[in-house]
Amino acid sequence: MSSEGKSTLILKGQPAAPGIALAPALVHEAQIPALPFRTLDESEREAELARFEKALDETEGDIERSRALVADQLGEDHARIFEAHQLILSDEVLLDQVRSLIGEGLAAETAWMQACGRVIEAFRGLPVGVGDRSEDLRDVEGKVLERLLGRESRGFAHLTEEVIIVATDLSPSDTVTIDRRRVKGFVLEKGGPASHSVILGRSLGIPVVTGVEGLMAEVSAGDPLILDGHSGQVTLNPAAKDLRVFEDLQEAYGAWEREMLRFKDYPAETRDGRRIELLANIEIPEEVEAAREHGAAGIGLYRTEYLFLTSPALPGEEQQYEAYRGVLEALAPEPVILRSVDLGGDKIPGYLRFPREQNPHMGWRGIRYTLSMKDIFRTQLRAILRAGAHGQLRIMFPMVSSVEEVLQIRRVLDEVSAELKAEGHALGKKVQIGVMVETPAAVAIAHLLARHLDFLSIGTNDLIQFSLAMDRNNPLVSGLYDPFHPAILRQIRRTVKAGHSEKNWVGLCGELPEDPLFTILLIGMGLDEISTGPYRIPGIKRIIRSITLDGARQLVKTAWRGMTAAEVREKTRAEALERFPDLADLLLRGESS
Amino acid sequence: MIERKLEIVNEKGLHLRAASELVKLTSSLPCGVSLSNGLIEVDGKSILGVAALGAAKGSHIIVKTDGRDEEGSMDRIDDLFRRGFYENVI
Repeated sequence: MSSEGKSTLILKGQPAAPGIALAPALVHEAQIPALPFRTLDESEREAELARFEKALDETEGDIERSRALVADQLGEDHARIFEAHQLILSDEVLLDQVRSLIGEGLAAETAWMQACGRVIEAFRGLPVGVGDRSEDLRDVEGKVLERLLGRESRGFAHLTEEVIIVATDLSPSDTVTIDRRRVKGFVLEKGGPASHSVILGRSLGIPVVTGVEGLMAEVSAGDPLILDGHSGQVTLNPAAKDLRVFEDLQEAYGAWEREMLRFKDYPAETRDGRRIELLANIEIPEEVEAAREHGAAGIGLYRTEYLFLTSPALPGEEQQYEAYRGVLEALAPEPVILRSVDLGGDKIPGYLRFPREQNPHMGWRGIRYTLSMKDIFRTQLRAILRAGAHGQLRIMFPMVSSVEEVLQIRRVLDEVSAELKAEGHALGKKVQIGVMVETPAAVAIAHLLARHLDFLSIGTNDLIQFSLAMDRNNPLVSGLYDPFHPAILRQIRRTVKAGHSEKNWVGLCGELPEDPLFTILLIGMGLDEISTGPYRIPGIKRIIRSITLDGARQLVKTAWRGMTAAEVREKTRAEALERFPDLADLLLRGESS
Repeated sequence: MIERKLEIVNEKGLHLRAASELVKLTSSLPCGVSLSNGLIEVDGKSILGVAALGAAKGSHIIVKTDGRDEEGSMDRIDDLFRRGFYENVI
C-alpha cells in the first residue's frame, strides 16, 4: 500500500473506539448532490415515469438483499427496520404524488425529493412520544435517489477488500449491513460519541474516530489511511516513516493489552494504602463486559442518553427497567451510578421536539430539561429505582447549578419512591444520590449542594468549557482549553474540600486527560473516585499503584506555585519524575502530547 | 361501511414499525380502510399516512372499513390494535 505522489496529511478527531487500523478508504457519499432544476417536455414525461419505476424496482431489490443479509447475520429482529422501508417504497399515496409531479413536468429526482419532503414536513408537527418516522423516510429517500442518479447501492454488505469507512455520518441501516470481516474501522466527519456507528464500532472491536473536520474534502476513495482510535489521529497517505510508526503503535497497543492483564485483578491503591474507587463509564449495557475485562470496580457513569437516542420512540418504563436492571445485576455487589438522561445540547432524539436555541449548550438540557418534562423524568426514575432492587444503585443528575434543583429532584424522588412502594415494587436499599459538578456555580456552592447529597462528581468537559468560557469545538480557542489551567485545578480542589466537609465522597467522571500528571494531581487533591472509559482503566490503575498519596500531595503543593498551565506541567513533571521513576515512560510521553 | 373506535394500547404508539404491522395487514384486506384521529383522515393502506396520525398510547382512532368482507376485516384490525401491533403492552 504505497502512496506515491500524494502527500501525507494528518487530521485530528475525537477517539471514539480504541484500536488501530491501516487500510484504504472507502468513501461513503451520503450527501445528496445539488440537482439541476429542469422541467420536462410533454414528450419526455412517459420515459421519466418509467425511469422512476425502474429505480423503485432496483431499490426494492437492494432493500430485500440488505434485509436477507441482516436477518441472516444479526437475526430477524434487526431486519425489521427493512420491512418498514419496503412498505414506504410501496406506499401508493407517496408514489401517486411523485407520479403526478412527474406528470406536471418535474424530473423524477426532484419529484421524489419534493414528495418525501412534504411527508417529512407533515411529520414535524406531530406530538412528542411517537417517533422514528422521518429518519427512516430519509433513508429510503436517499436509496431511491441513488438509483435514480445511477449510483451503485452504497451498502457495505458485499465488500471484497479490507477497508476503512470514511463518511460524514452513517445511518442505522448503513451500519447494520457492515461486513465484520472487511471493515477495519470508521472515521466520521460528524458523529458524536453516542452515535450509532460509534457504539457499533465498539461492539465490533474496531477503531472509530469522529468529528474529523475537513475529512470528506481531503480523502479520496482508495487513499490509504492509518486510523488510531486511541489518540483520534488519522494519517492520510502515510509515508514510509508513518508505516513504521503504525507498526510501533500496533506493538504499543499489544504491550498495553498485556499491561492491562497485569493490573486487572489488583485494587486501585497507592503504595501507602490510599484506595481509590476506579470505575468505568459506559453508554450501553453491552459495555459492561469491557468494563469488567479491564478491571473496573463498578460503573461510575452509565449515560442513559444512548437508550433515548437510538430508540425509535421515547423508551417506556419497562424497556428502561430491563436495560438498567441488566447492568445492575451483572455488576452486583459492585456499584453502578446511573445518570438521569442528559438530553438537549447536541443530543436530541428524532422523536422529541426542541426549540431552536441560540446557545444550546447553555440552554434547555440536563436537569433543566428533565425537571420541566416531568413525565419523562418520572418514568426514568421509576425504571431506575425499580432496577435498584437488583444491585448497588447510585443516581446522579447532570448540569445542576442550584440548590433549588437539588430540592426539586429530592421531591420527585420521594414521590416516585412512595408511589412504587404503594404499588408493591421492591426498591434498592441505601441508594446514594449525587450531582454532577460541571458549572462554576456548582463549584461555588458545592458545600450547599452536598448538604442534601451523598456524593459529587466532577464533569470535566463542561466544567473546563464553562469555567474558561472556551468552546472546545471552536478551533480558534480550543488550543486554550487546558485542564492544567490553574483555575481548573483550584475548582477541583475546592469541590473536593466542599464535598468532604459535608461528608460526601467526591469523584470525577468526565474525560480524563491523557497526561498521567493530571491523575496524580487528582489523587493528591483528595479525590475519592475516578470513572473513565473502560479502556483507560488499566493505565490509570498502574499510575495509582505506582504513587503514594503523600507524594501526590506534595506534587499538588508544587502545582500551586505554577502561574500558568505550562508552568504547572513543567514543575510537577520534573518533581514527579523524581518521586515516581516507575512512571517515567508515561510521564515523558505525556510531555510530548 | 362500518366504523369502530379503537384504542392504541402499545407503549410506543403508532410509530413507524407499528404502522408497518398495521399496513401489512390492511394491504392484504379486500376492502378499503381509512383511519382518522379526529383531525385528519388517512388511507389505512399507506404507511406514511398511518404514521402521520401521530397516535400515541391511549389515543383513539376511528377506523372505517368499506367493501368486501368489511366486517371480518374490521375484526382483524381490531385484534391487531388489541395486541398492540405485537409490541410491548403494559
